[in-house]
Amino acid sequence: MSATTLGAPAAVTDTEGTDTKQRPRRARRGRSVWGWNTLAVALSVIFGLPIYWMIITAFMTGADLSKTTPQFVPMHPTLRAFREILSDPVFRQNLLNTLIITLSAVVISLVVGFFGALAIARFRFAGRKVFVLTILVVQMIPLLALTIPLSLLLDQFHLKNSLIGVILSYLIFSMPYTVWTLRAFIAGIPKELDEAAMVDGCTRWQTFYKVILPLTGPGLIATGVYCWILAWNEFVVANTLLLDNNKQTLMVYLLQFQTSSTHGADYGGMMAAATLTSLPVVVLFIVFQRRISAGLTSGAVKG
Amino acid sequence: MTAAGHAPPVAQDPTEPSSGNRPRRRRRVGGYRAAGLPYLLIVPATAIVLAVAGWPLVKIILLSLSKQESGKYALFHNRGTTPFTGFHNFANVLGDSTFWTVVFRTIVFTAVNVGLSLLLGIGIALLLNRVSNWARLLLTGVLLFVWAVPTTVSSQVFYWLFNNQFGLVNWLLDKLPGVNMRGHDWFADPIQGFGVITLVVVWGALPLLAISLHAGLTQVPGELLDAARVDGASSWQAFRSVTLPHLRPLLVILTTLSIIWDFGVFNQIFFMRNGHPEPGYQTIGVYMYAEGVGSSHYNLGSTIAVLMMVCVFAMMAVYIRQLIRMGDAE
Amino acid sequence: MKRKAIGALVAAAAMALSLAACSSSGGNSSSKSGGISLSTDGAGKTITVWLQGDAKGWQDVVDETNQRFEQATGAKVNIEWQNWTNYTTKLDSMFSGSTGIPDVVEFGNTQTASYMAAGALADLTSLKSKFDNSSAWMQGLADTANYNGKLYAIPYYGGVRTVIYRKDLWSAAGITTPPTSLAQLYSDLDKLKAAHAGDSSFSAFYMPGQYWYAAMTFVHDAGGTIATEKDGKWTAQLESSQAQQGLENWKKLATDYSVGGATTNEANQDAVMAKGHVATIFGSGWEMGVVADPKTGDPKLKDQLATFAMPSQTDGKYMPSFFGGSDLAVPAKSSNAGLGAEWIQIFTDNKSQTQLAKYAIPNNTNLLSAYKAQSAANVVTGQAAENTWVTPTSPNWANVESASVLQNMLQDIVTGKSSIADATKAADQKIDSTLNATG
Repeated sequence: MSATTLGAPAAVTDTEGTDTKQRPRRARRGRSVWGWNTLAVALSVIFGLPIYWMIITAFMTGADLSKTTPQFVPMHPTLRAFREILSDPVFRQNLLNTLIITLSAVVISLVVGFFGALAIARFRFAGRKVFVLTILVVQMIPLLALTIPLSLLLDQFHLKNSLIGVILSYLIFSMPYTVWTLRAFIAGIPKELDEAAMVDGCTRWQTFYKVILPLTGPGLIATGVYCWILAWNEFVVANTLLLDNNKQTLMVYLLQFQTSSTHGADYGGMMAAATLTSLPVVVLFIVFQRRISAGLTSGAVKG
Repeated sequence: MTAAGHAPPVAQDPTEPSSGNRPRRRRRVGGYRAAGLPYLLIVPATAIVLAVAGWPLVKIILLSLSKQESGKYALFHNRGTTPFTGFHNFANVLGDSTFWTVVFRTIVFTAVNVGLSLLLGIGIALLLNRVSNWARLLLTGVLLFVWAVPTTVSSQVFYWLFNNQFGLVNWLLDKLPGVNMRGHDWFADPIQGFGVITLVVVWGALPLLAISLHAGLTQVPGELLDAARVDGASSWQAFRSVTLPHLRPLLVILTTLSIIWDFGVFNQIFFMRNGHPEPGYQTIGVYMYAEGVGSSHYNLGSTIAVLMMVCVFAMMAVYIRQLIRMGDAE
Repeated sequence: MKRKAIGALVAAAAMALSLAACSSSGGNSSSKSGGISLSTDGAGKTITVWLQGDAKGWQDVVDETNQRFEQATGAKVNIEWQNWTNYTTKLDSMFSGSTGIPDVVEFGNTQTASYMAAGALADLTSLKSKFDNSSAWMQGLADTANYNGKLYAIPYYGGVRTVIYRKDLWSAAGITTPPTSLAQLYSDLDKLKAAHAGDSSFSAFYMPGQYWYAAMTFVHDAGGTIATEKDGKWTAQLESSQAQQGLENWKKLATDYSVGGATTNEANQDAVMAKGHVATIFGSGWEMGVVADPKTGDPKLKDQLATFAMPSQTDGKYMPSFFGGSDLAVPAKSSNAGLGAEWIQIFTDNKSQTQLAKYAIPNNTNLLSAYKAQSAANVVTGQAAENTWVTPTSPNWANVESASVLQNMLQDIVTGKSSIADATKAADQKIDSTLNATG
């Protein structure tokens, strides 16, 4: 029972659904629920505070920010920081780079990962165990540890100061994760379905395409979103491989608020850039919000 | 499996009406007629793994076994290729007390962070199980937002919150009677600095832990809990004897993952220390970066990286065993 | 806690020693590449120039250079702005690769030696006469542009740090004349501090805890130095009583009169000053422009800033200045080396340097009078430039910088983590092993 919980992430989503139906029965029990509710609200405030602070700081003037008494609501809201950051061509280019890198890493991982997952979920073959083990081990390698050899090797192919090199590097964590997680989703699809399809005259490839792929849809979304976060957040490798300002990612852009003389101490600008950097991930979460918890419990890997 | 949203494809399944009409040899999935197919399917994944992970792994081991030059000539002219020296670098790194100080610091940091994240994660998961729907939606929503924030961003936000002059935290603490936190510099003492870093790490880790543990909790059969209560068990006893055993496999995985994440924490420390963490702030990942990349000692850095990976693999052995067992169960 | 910290520092030093023990002997000779020649054949090409953000302070000179260069060669210029923080890491990464190699690179004058020694830069010796004023280059820069008798870099600009203060705040505190001794500086700062007793974030003198150029200025003022060389062997000298005295003087400034900077470096001190809670900083003359910059600073402070030379602990004297500055070089692997050299030629010619002299010390003595004529502030820095100190000339010095040895030592001192004696001892060990490393 518990093993299936972990193996098949979808099962979790499933019970989440039924759980909602059970909820009122349990929640109504006792008046203490209001105590718990209050605690939940308090925790929401505490957890949300840094995000709130980030957003309001971005709208504040430099003068207001260097007052000794902090303002909880911007007194003189300004778009200066956002205007400055958005009008910086380097920021716009870095945003585009981050999108390109992340999207490519996610799409390649999903396509390649889907086939790999199919193989281990649907077939027994000599070497399967080796393949599974390799995937699991690679998934656990801290990318940070490979910074040096990646930089030297990619340079041999003139891929060092290039987005492609970074995309390839990101496949180290995103691809094994996809294989492993999708495997669980595919294993959850009854084999009888593909068998029936093949009996009906579908070739094996048609079965993959017409039966398994659509049924794996939610898994693809959950996995894709998670890979998206990992790739979007990566900093060290991007910082080491990418030399030109115009090739860098948003994470590297953010660092200049910590290190440069021109941006230093500009907390409004820093928070505006931080807000804009988080935004694409937040939007993704809102759009796919319902699918995400499914991916969570599966083979969830690095964060 | 049938989560909301993909019922239609099943209903439209074209095989439904005709299945069973034809007498047939039962095809076993993975039967020998498809002998070449699984290999074809894993070709792209295998190729990528070998190219982007296998090759760098070989290279890093070679680097760790080659001599560390102190000048930059070899680095600039031979792509860092230097003569083979065997385990000289390993002897140097392992024989250096700085390395062990760093390892010890990393272990303490990891233990504190994993412990805190898991305790709070379980607490929030239990809370989510008890509150009204609206409160659960609110807290889950906030947690999802938190989860979406990149670690680099959260580090900068906390750096600003803990700013010694204009930060919110010092101001709030200063309001407490008898506390003078004006201008307090949280990063002057690495222990306090690590306190702030722990906050960011735990803050960022909780959404995943709390939400997945909550999902796990909802799978604990209500009847069992009710039965335990009827038998007169206290909430704590019910939790220990019913809930915890059900959560155990999930907890094992989450603990292993948390250990691996917290062991390799980098961004939070790097950003909080303005891109050049002081020696007192170096955990193993930061140490490896500072020695290897920061000071361009690629061979020594590779040696530390290899040792770091050995630690990670040792810790994940448990996790992999668990996963393999599950994989076989299918 | 303290003992543990010392242990860690000693361990760090021991680690560095063990590294030195295993490294190879015998330096590698540099410069495989022969000389290059200036090129004006650049139609359809683009050259890449790595410049530090400091040059945004003289953007007009950069823009005009680019214009003239584009007219002369038909090539375009792509300026890649850099930060000093972790700059050597980035330089190493670039020089070790074959992609993203710029055609012109800016170096801090303390950083050039290790790159010249490693053969990373193109030999410009035969072109020397083509660069304006090359016979009158400032000594502090020219010294850092040569290695083994060959020229690998072109002096770009110099900088001398002086005290930059807010005239309005100082006079409001009743101080009318600049201090002529360190003791008087302290007493003036006491007055400033008293006048702003109500502002808990007020710094009478903002002195970041990792500001090693400042701290080493105090060390040299007290008769100390970072390291000395004898028969090719370097010996770090920060433990000497003179150096410790200098650090004591500096620590007083950083702890008694400075708020909020104990664990940061000087990179953003101009922006911090522009926020209005700082009366005084220690910086290069052109930093006044950054403080009053409408985008990054506060333009209202434009007329309120003035400078004086840092007074010595000896009455009536001034501290010797660190002669900072930058050089420009062409990477040996550059694919447009001739064009890169041509760009440097235009950027450092008499016309550009005359313009640059408005903001910073020009690369040659011929234009020094033009620099001094610009403003009263420049007279102060021009004088300060006459008595200077330099960092150890070892090619390994850049490794001391990239390992942040001095910064970490100073931060330990300012935050009270280590005593001056313990911190300097640990730093000396690390500096010894780094400077004497061979290979």
